[in-house]
Amino acid sequence: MICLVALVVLGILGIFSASHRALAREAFDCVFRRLTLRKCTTGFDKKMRMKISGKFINTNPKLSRFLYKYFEIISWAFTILMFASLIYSAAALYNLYVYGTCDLDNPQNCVFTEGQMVENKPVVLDCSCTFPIDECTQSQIYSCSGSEDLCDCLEPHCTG
Amino acid sequence: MNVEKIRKDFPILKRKDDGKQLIYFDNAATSLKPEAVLDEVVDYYSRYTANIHRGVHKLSQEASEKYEMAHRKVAKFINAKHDEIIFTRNATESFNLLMYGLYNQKYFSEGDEIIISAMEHHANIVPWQFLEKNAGVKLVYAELNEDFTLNMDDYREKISPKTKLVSMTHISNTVATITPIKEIGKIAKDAGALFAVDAAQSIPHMKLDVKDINADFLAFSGHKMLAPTGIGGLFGKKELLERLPPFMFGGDMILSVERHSSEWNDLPHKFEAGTPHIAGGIGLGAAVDYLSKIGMDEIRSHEKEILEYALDRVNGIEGITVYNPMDAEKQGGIVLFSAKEIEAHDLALALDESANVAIRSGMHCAEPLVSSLNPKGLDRASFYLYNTKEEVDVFAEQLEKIVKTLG
Repeated sequence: MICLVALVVLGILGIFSASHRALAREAFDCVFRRLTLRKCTTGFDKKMRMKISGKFINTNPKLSRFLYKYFEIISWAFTILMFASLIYSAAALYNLYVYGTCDLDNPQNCVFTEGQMVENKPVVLDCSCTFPIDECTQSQIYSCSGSEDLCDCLEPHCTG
Repeated sequence: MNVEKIRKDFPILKRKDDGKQLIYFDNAATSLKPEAVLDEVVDYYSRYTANIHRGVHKLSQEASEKYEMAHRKVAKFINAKHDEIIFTRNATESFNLLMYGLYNQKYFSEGDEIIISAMEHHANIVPWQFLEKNAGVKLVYAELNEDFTLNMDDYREKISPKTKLVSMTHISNTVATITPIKEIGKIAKDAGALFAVDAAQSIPHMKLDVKDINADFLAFSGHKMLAPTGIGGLFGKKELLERLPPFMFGGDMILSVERHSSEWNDLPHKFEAGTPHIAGGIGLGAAVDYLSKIGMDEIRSHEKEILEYALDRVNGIEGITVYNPMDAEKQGGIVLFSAKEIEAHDLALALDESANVAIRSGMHCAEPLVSSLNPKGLDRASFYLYNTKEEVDVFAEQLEKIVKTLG
C-alpha cells in the first residue's frame, strides 16, 4: 500500500530533487502493476520499509522495530488518510468554484470565501488597537489581527 | 601487504553517506577499481582513442599495441599463451562462446552427458540447459557434502564414457567452496571428457595456473578482478580453439572475405568479432599489473585472515546461520548467511541504511542451490584485498544490532 502514498509524495519531491525521481518511478511502476491486477515485483514496499526503519536502528531501536513490524498497517493508515484528504479537498474546491466558498456550513472558516477579509474585521477589534480602525487600509487591519504587539507596531503606518 | 596503502589507491573508499564510511563487502559481485586502472581507461579515451587493427596512424597503432599487450599480460597471469586468451564481455559470454562453439562443432551426440556441480553460477548452468533441449545432452549434477564441499565420490560415480564435458567452478560464488580442481580435471581427462573451469571467483583472489590444473577451457570476468565492467575472458587450449567454429561473425575475425565465403582470422581474433571493448581490455591489463605487483599469494593470505575473523564473528551472533565450509583453507573470502525472521533483502537494506555496509542478498545467480537452502534467498558478505578487520567489526556489530532489533 505504501507505493500509492509514496507515488504522490515522491512525485512531488521528485520535481525538485533528482534523487527522489528514481524512487517515484519505482513507485509508479508498482502502482501501475497493482492497477493492472499484477503483483508488485519491484520490492519497492520492502525497500521503503527498510529505508525508513533502518534510519532508526542506531538511534531509536524501539521505533525502528515498531516501524518494521507494523509497516503494512501504517501504510494502510496513511493511504486511507491520503484518500480522505483528497476527497475533502476535491469537495472544497468544487464548493469554492460553484458557491464561492470552500466551506458551505461556516463560510468564515474559508479564507478564499468572497469578501472574507471584510468579514474578518471583528477579529481585528479583539486585539485592542490604539488607533482608529477606520483610518487603516484593509490589508493593514488584516495584518494586525490577533496580536497586540503587531497592532502597536503598525500604528505609525496606520495613522498616515 | 600494506592494506592502508592499498586502500588509498581506491578513490571510492573515501566515500561517506550520512557521515558513515562506505564498507564494501560485495566483492563477489564486482570489485572496486584502483586509480591505476581508472587512469589507463581515461588515458585511452583522452590521449589515444582509435579503433584497433584497422588504422595505420599512430593512435591506432598505439591502441592496438596496448590492447594486444593486455592479452599477453592476462596470458602470463594464468600461465597461458597470448593467443589462447579471448577477450569477451564476461564469464557468462565465455561460457556461451564455448557452448555455441561445441554445439556448432557437433561435438555432442544425443545421450552424451555434461557434469557440473550443484553449486554452479547460472552462467555455468543455463548454457548447458540449452544443449539439453537442443542437442539431447543430459546435464548431470555432482552433489555437495553436508559441509558444502564437493562430494568427490558422487562425482566419480557419475562420470562415465558418456561424459563429454566436465564444467566446474573453482570457487563457488555462494558457499565459497574451493573445489579440488586439479583432481576434478584429472578424473575428467581420464574419462576422455573436455574440462572447463569457471574461475570468475578464483582468478581475482589466488594464483592460478591453467597448465597446472590442465584446464581445456577457463572462463573469467574482469570486473571482479579490479578491471572495468564489460570485459572478461576465455582461456582455451590452442588446438581446441582452432577446432572450435567462431561464435560471432563480422569485422576483424576474418583474414579474407569473398562474396560467398570467408577465411577466419588467427587466434584470438577469430573469436573477437567487431570493435571490442578496447578501453576495458586495456583496463584489464592494468588490473593484472596491479594484482601482480602486490602478489596473488599475499592477497590470498590477507583474505584468509579476514575470512577467518569474519566467520568467527558472524557465526557467533545469535540468530545467524552460516552456510560455508567454515574453514579458510577450503573456501574463498565469502560468508553466506541468513538471519532468523528477517528476510535477506531486508537485512541487506538495513545494513546499507544504518551503517553504509554494502552486501549482496537474494539468489546470487545460483538459484538451484540457494533456494534449496532458503527459498527467500540468503545474504553474502565477500572480501577483497582492501578490506580490513575493523570493517568486519563494524559489520558484525551492526548485524548483531539489527538481528536483535528486527528479529
